[in-house]
Amino acid sequence: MNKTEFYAKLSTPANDPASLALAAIQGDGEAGTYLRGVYDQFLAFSVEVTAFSRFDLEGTGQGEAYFATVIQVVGYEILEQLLDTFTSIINQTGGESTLVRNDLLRRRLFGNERLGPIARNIVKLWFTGNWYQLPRNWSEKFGPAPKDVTFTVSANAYVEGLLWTTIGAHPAGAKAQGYGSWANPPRIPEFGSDAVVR
Amino acid sequence: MHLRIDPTRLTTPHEAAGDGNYDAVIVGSGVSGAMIAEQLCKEGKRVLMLEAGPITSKSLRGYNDYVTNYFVSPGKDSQAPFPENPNAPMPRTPLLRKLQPGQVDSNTYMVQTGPYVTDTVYSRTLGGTTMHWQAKTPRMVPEDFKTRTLYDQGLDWPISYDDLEPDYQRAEREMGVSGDVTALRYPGGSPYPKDYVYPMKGMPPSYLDQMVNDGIEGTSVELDGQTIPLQVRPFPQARNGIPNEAYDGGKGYTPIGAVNTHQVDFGERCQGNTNCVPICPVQAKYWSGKTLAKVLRMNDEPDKGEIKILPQAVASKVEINPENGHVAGIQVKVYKNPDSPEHETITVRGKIYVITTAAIETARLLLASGLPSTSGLVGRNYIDHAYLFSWGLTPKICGAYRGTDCISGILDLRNGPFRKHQAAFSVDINNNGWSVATSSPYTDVTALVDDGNLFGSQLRRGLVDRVSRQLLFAFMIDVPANESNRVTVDPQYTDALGNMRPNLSFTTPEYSMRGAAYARQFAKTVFSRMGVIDYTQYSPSNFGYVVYEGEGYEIHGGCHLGGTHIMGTNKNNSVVDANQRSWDHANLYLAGGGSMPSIGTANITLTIAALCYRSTRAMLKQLSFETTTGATIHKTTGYHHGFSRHCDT
Repeated sequence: MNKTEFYAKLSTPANDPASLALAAIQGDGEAGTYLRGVYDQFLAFSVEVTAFSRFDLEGTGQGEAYFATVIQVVGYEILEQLLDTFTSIINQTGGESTLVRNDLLRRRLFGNERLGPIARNIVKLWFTGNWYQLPRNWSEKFGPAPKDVTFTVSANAYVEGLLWTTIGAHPAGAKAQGYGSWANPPRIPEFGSDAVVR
Repeated sequence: MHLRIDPTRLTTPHEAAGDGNYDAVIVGSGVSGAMIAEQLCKEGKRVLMLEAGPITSKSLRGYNDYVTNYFVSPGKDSQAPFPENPNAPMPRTPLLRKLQPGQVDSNTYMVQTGPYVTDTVYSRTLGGTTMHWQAKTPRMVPEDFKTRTLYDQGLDWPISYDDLEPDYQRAEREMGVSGDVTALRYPGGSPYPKDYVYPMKGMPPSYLDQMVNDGIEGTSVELDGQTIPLQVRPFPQARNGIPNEAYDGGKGYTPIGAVNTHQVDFGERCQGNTNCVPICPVQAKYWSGKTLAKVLRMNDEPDKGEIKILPQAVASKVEINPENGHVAGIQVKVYKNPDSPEHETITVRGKIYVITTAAIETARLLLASGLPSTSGLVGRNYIDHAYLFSWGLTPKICGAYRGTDCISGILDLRNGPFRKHQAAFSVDINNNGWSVATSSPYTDVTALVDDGNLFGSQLRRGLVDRVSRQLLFAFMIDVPANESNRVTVDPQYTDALGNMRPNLSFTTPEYSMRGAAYARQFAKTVFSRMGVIDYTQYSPSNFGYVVYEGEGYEIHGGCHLGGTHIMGTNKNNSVVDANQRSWDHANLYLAGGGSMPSIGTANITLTIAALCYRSTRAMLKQLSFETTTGATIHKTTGYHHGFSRHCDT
């Protein structure tokens, strides 16, 4: 199967695109090479919008699951558009400050009627492990997306939510910090004001 | 210790119905069921225990499945670990809606007939509501036992604090309570015997607790002419901490770890999972499975009795011998699969019957059996705490979302002469942020991302600012018994097995609303002393919204169910006697919060547990009377077991 055929399959929800995407990422073929590149873009975007390093994000073990979740719910094509937009912003603002980059991200991505809600959902996925149902007006205009309901990606996704790390706590019910640890102030991890891209 | 419910301990409908030699049939496997079974088996008695729900949590894998169910539930409501079971349903919060006057909401298992809607819940599964409870174990204060006499409010108990005190100690041992008695000795508090210490040392107060204490220690409030000094005090808690070597006259205490796995992995000290409700992932928290594990071990000991457990068995009707009023048997619907209403109906018999299904279900079963009692009080005087939340952001990071759900609180307003005019309350300092009031921190993430348009570093900063400064006071307000707050049944509302569902009619009385209004004022005072920014908002569309003296409040249920089969001094003013024995049916005990004529401002489980010891002494006396006199056999009537009137103790 060449790249174009594979791409067509991915964009058809009936084909379980999420499994196809995951299989392709792990495979050796032309499609796998191509998709791994897309997944790299997905991680680069995630680093930018979460302010966690690629090391931290990969450490959650959830990257591929979130990548697959987005493809599963809204299809591959829109994700690719989102990531291409992101890459072009990065290329355009290479060497410029975060402020400039953030302005462009807002105008062209988060403020984009079609892409904005998906971008926000990717942020929420990383922080909570939940896919949140898209706004109704999005579904009316760009839907339908039958799998678009609020759900937790998996038990591990919940446990790996970045929210908890962000506040120096732990997900309720997991990764407990130990007897009596609560008597001390939380250790809130430091982060740079400029997220490192790539 | 292992909760080894091997096949020989599980009985079948056929076997249970055919076995006429049970000393006791216990309905329910929660705290009362387990503790009563333990006391009876210890004395060589044979017990049949019925559990309406599945016994999933008997294995570590099943217990962990519950934890996983919680993890994958995006809403994370307080029953999230426990799957829907139409054959033995339980109330669930997310489905509630506000009622207009005269409306009835039958969309959820518990039919709400209003005027107020309660989000109170209980769990129907092995372990009952101890699977889900927060495990704070304050004792009631002596005045709580005589609120009618002292304050002209609610009802008096037929026993006093002093009568119950030794049993409080027994319950604290069984549940392995961690607590610091020194911090709990204060004017108006529960008196402890000199030198008493809890089995385990008190949990260290959270960083947030310390911050609140720094803000209020040395200050006071004026109430009803009384100056009440303020201080944060840690609650006693039924969860494993550090054993106290001074316990039991220097003998110390050995904690009970997780049942059904190795203690090296689970069930040792509380790790601070901040998830006591709805399930402790490591079983550091007491649940009745720990007591059941003890009972099951007795099966192998020569002098002890034995227990048989019949799971997925819903008690559906209490059958009465019309000749003497004794319970002749309990009709049980046993289902194989929670997804199918297919079931068989059997009748089980024992010498005595003990119903321990918590106040709402116990009343439901009696009323569905057509047994309102001589006093007509079955189902009446339903009591729960009225919860009011006040929340805000502390001036600096307070480290929310760490520790147990709640370690400390402000207890100084649990008692005082002001109780003549307004309800007392206990204040919880929640370590899990605003979650109970606003579904934080998820709603904070969605608000900052969707409405705040934050991402990247700004989002991280925003989350720290918004989430790790969350402080919430949960006011647990006394609600005195009132006959019009009641559980009823109605044949038009049934569950999948055809059992009538509970209908609840509830109003928060003015006395309690006065307490709520003061609680709100009190929160504002403390917030101002701490420099906390108040974020409290009560929404008129919330199901618990109440307007009192022009101000709106959201009143939530406390899951502290009492009062539907109150104990009293005679059969005209109560349903059970001081031993939780039915006045009308001499071989029937109704054990649980329903027996409590008042609950004061204490979480009720410890008192329920203490009452079990009292009741089992009466049961054992009754059973031994039966053994020595042979008074039970009424072959001529066709009923195998019962007691003649003259054996009443």
